[in-house]
Amino acid sequence: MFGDNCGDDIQNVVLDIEEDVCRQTSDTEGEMLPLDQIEDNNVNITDLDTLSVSDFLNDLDSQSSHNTSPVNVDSDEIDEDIESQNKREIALAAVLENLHISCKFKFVLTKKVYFKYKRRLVSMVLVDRIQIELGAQEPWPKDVKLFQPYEIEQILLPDNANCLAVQAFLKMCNLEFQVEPRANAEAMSPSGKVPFIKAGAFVVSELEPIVQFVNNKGITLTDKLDPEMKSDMRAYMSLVHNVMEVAELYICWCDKETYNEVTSVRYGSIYPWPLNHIQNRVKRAQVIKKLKVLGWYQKTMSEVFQEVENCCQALTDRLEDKDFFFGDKPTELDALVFGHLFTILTTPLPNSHIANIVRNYPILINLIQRIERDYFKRETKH
Amino acid sequence: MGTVHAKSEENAPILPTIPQEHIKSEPAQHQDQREIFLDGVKARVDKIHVDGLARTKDDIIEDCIRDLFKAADFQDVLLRAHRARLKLDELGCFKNIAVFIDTSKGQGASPDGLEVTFNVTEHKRVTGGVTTQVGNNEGALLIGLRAPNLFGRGERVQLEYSHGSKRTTNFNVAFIKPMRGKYRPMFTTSVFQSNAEWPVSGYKQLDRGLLFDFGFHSTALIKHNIQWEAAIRDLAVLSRNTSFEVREQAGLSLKSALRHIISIDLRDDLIFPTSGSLLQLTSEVAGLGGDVGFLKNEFFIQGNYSLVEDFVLQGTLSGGFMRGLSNDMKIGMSDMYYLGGPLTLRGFQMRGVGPHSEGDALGSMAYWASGLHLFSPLPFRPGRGGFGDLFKTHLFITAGNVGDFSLSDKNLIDSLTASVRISYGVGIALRLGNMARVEVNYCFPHTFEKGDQIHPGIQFGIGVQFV
Repeated sequence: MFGDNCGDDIQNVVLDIEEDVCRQTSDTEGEMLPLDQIEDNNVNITDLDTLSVSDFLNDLDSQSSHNTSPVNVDSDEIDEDIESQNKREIALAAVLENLHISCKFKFVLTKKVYFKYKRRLVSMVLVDRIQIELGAQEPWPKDVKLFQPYEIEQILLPDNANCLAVQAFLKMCNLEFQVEPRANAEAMSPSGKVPFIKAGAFVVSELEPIVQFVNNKGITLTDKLDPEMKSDMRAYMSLVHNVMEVAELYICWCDKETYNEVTSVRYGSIYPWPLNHIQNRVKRAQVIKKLKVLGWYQKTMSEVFQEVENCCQALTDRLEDKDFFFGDKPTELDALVFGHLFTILTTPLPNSHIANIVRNYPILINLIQRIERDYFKRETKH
Repeated sequence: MGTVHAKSEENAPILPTIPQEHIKSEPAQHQDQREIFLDGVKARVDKIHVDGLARTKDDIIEDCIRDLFKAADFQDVLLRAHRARLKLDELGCFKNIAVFIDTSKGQGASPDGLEVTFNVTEHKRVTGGVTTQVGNNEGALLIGLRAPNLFGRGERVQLEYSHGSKRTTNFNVAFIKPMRGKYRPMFTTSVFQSNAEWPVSGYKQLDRGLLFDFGFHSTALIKHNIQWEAAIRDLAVLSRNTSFEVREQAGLSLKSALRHIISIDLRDDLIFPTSGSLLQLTSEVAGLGGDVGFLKNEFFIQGNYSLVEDFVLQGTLSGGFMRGLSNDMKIGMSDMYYLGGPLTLRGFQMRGVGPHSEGDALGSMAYWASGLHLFSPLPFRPGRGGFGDLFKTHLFITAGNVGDFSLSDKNLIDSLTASVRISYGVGIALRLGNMARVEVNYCFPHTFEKGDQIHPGIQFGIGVQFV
């Protein structure tokens, strides 16, 4: 079943799917909806997660028990009713979510695309499952390391936000870890994104998978939350991902002044001449492509700031006068919000407007100060 | 014999008639002294014709054939004509070269005068083809497109794409310019992209770069190549199970390196030589720009001795040593040395000797490997004189070691031989065209260390340079 596909990188599959879906969207064969639109249509993510993933896996299991050889499905052979197709679409979307694939949108896929990527996903789902099951049996190792780019000379705003969010989460869980800066952290990461942690034999990247990994060890910040609150929390987390992170990417790579003065200098700092210029261009093209898919590239600076403002307002409304977003204990949402807002407030940029926007929300500022004081000040006494 | 053979068959019968003319003029009992006789015939080349030139410029042709005028006797003429033909062939402009020698007639003809005619056929403007190619224990399909003799002086542009059986892909565009001069200099510049996967080391690497190569002969048999290579190399982790030590190496690097290769090839055959030796020395300095820095020296020696008829003893010794230039400079995994596999130490997995991390082979800074082979024809000589001659049986013993040896170590010999790996076996070797050797061996790893990945039993190898 694994065949030669077990070496496949999730990142590659996602890139391929993204590309395919982009092409399909333009051909109007398929349809792609950004996550927030799906939420507007009242699709409950948690339901998808619990129901359809098991369906999908059962589906896979029956497939894999019937065929020992790799699944070869021609589009002609497929003869299924619309209902199961819908299920499939949802299931794939949920699996993508379950695999913590970093695409920040959901797909409504045609049969063709689904079967094209199914085989590749199957092996990864199995690998992932095995890994999670194995990982769950061991306690939190002593020598956990968190890998991220160099903070002073290299890291960029969105990466820094994510790294800080993971650090905050681990500290909230009271788990020991060491920060290990590496120039090539991005290339080392299994998903191509920072940060990632190395716990024993496991390498896990990005916040959500790390949260999942920690949960599998029996450590969780959300045990007191009921399912509805959990799905709320996940919705807010995707809101932060979809607005704050994308806005940070936009400012870093699309605002000329910031790109020239900060981004290009820092991103290229780890490469020798002339590789730094080449890599800056390559990375910028990637980011722009992603922003185009998300529909942000066409936005003006003021529209981006408006989005950030809306996001801050939504977060403020949720927080109200509570200590943390969900009661008196922090959750991963608090870690994520802290990561992003703290980075935005403390990173000097030529265009400081985004920091000024955040400063207009004192409730959020209080939250961040509280988290910083409780979880970061203890060790770092400088 | 001193006769000049043309490449194509139909011209061959014409050639022997010329010396016979001279032989006939002497008494027949001197038949056994023919060579001395040819030596004694005074001859002078009056005229040289080159027929069939269209695009090729005169000056480079003149360079190739000028020597012919210096010939004093007939044998000299034949030898020089042969050499001139080789030079013309080396230009790469012609697909066919035929040589005719005739007595000189007409006005101004000297008494011993000869006329030499080179009948050449030029290549077409663009040629191409699909061929197979054999590389590092892998076969590859090669699709090539060439524009030979672009500006009339042997310049050519070639475009090649190859796809290997082990997911290796290569793309290469090269411009080659032979230059005039007695050292036969040749300038090559190429742009390449190559993609290789190394499951045994858990990584894949994409190289994109430029290569300038300047080749020349300091004497007839000693060939030099001076190269400058600049490449952007993207090392990526192959799978989730790749060891963390390999993962740490992931990312981009820029290599800029100067290389000097000397090769002296005195062997009588490329694949199954019966006598002669080969010496190849490579020195490389990386770190002139870029972030990869090291100094690297390698050698490869092969000697062949014919014991009795068709029984050939072949001994091979190769080794390499490298060191980093500074702590700021990286050394890539692909720059380092590995040992083991069907081309080096038989009876071990590819890269199976030396340090490993979670099953992934890690490179070392030095290695040596040697092999001793006894080649013999197939038992009972089936297909003698034809198909059977493509095969040989061989007994072999190979030995080697790999590790981070240091030249300053006082007990260098001791450390080189401390954990030597030895394997032996028997097998059949096959000549594949005139480009590669295929081996099917039954191997017995004899001495090995704990972490080595051995491969006893049948092992299949295909390649050009074997230890």
